[in-house]
Amino acid sequence: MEALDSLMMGFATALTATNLMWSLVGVTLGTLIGILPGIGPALTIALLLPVTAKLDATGAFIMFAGLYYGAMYGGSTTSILLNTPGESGTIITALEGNRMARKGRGAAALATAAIGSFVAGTIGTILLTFLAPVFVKLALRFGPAEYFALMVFAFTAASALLGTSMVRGIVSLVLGVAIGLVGIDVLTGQIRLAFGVPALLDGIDIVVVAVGLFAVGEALHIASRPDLRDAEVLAVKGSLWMTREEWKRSFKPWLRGTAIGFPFGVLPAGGSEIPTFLSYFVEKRLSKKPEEFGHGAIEGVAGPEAANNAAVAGVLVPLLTLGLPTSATAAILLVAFQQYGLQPGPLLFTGSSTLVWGLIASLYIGNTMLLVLNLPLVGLWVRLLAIPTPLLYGGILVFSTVGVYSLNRSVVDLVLLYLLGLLGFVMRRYAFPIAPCVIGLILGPMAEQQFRRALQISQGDWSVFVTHPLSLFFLVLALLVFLTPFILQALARRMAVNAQGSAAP
Amino acid sequence: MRLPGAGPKAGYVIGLGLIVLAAVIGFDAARMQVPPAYSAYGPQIFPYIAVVALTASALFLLWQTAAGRPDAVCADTDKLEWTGVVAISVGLLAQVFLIERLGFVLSAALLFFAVAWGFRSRRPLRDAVVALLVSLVTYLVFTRLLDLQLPPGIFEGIL
Repeated sequence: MEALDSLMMGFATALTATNLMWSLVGVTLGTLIGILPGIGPALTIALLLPVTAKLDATGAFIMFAGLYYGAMYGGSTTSILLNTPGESGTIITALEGNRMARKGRGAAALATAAIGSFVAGTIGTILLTFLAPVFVKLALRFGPAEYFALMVFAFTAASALLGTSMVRGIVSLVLGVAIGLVGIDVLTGQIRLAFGVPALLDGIDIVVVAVGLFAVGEALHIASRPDLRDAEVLAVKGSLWMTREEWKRSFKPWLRGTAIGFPFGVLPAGGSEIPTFLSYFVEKRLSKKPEEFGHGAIEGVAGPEAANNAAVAGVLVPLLTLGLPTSATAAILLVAFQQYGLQPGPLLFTGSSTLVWGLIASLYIGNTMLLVLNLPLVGLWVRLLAIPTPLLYGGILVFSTVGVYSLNRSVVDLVLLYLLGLLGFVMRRYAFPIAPCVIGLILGPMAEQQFRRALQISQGDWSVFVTHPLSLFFLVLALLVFLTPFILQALARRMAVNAQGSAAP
Repeated sequence: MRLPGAGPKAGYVIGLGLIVLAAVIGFDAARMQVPPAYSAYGPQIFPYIAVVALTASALFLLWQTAAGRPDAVCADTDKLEWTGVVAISVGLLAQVFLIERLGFVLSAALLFFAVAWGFRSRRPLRDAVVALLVSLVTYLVFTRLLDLQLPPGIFEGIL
């Protein structure tokens, strides 16, 4: 098994004292920002980019990966005890978890969330270990036309699935692509959308966009909504040792949650929200006591918590093997790779195999650290929730401006930060999802590059995208994803008409 | 789905705003002069795709809003506290104008204070102390430990 050999080599990298330390820093920081509302993994990694520029790449990525995993663990704690999701992937956890906490079973909810995250994270990482080499082999056969078609598929999937409605997803995605256009075009030297501002010639930095949309937009949104601000923190009550019955009721939801979460992460369908919703409804359907749902059913915490961690592991498969980000955090991670001059994709596994396999091995280690950090120490973490919201957001915005200003030491970036914050505020208020915008910003220029390469090879013949079978396959998939909501709507309308027709005498 | 007060006005503003944006992108692309060798994959193709997608989405949103359909643009509440938004805006703009004049420590403390005030904190003294501490510690950590440069401003030579 070449995957096992590579993994062993990876452990040799990950188990060095320095890398263990980076893993610990990552998971601790991840848990911290997961617990704090208003700051998530995408934002944190974006803010860390200027700081980590001087670090060794392997250490930095081990830290980032630990941070991404950790945020999912920490997010569940906030959902359960505060009824405000710490992360978007833990929204559904608040539903049952907070009810459990109100009934004095908060500790059991935290335990099933943490152990479920561990189980799902470990299984997900095992799947990543064995799937990655398969994906790499497949990806080696991709040419520019295939990559472009795959990105088109990722575009439609991201806009269709990452929000409340497809049209909002598309608007968000295209805004991201448009922001990505700003600056000098590499191929022709044409200046796009710079409006004579010299600072815009190099384009708008992804960090400014991510921090503006996530941090400033979120702060403006929460500050404008008094009803969102005051939530009550519940104390951890009950035993952290789950009872026999609780184990029995959690076990299958963990496995089912993993089975739902991982494929969603892998497919360019992106994100950890949808699988958590799916897992919740599956558990509700299968439960022997469906009446408990809505009143603190442990299955409703166990399933979705497993699903979001499995999805995070899944997201790493297309990111590492194809260079295709399917979530906002993955998009920022891709930028981090580029900052080190690395291009994720099949060549990463040959050119930087130490880094990639060290990173994958560190996920097993990080997961174990997280279980220890989150279960016995949960009482310590909970104290973070006592930080007054005004001070928390004050701190988040100060760090945001530090991160953005230190990119280029430019005040223009701070102006852009504010403008993008206003955009993020409007998007949040009117329910436009943010993640497609970040994905569009990263994937847009990449898609354009592959599009041009494909056409350069074909000497301007656009038919390459449909004559290559794999490329055609992805484009058809994209079309299907785009059309599915419309087809479903039409079907539902027809069924409603039919039902009315047969009900009439 | 529409709540009273969260009316469709925003839907029209957003829809029209997107059309204006599409027009800006379109005009920007139209004035480019591209050598014919690149015409099949020139720098205008992606902007034009964006223009088409934005215009189509905007028209769809306007139609949904006008017809009161499910995709109508509306906020999930009509609650909006402008004081918070204004306070944070003032803080961020102060940072823009003052970071290189007063220096990072004071401008960041001002930002922190403004944000806390925007979140309706009623303890100005505590906030001011925390604000100064946070920005001072951040300044020292970033400039001394992490080797990043932040403007010292009026503390030039002192910090």
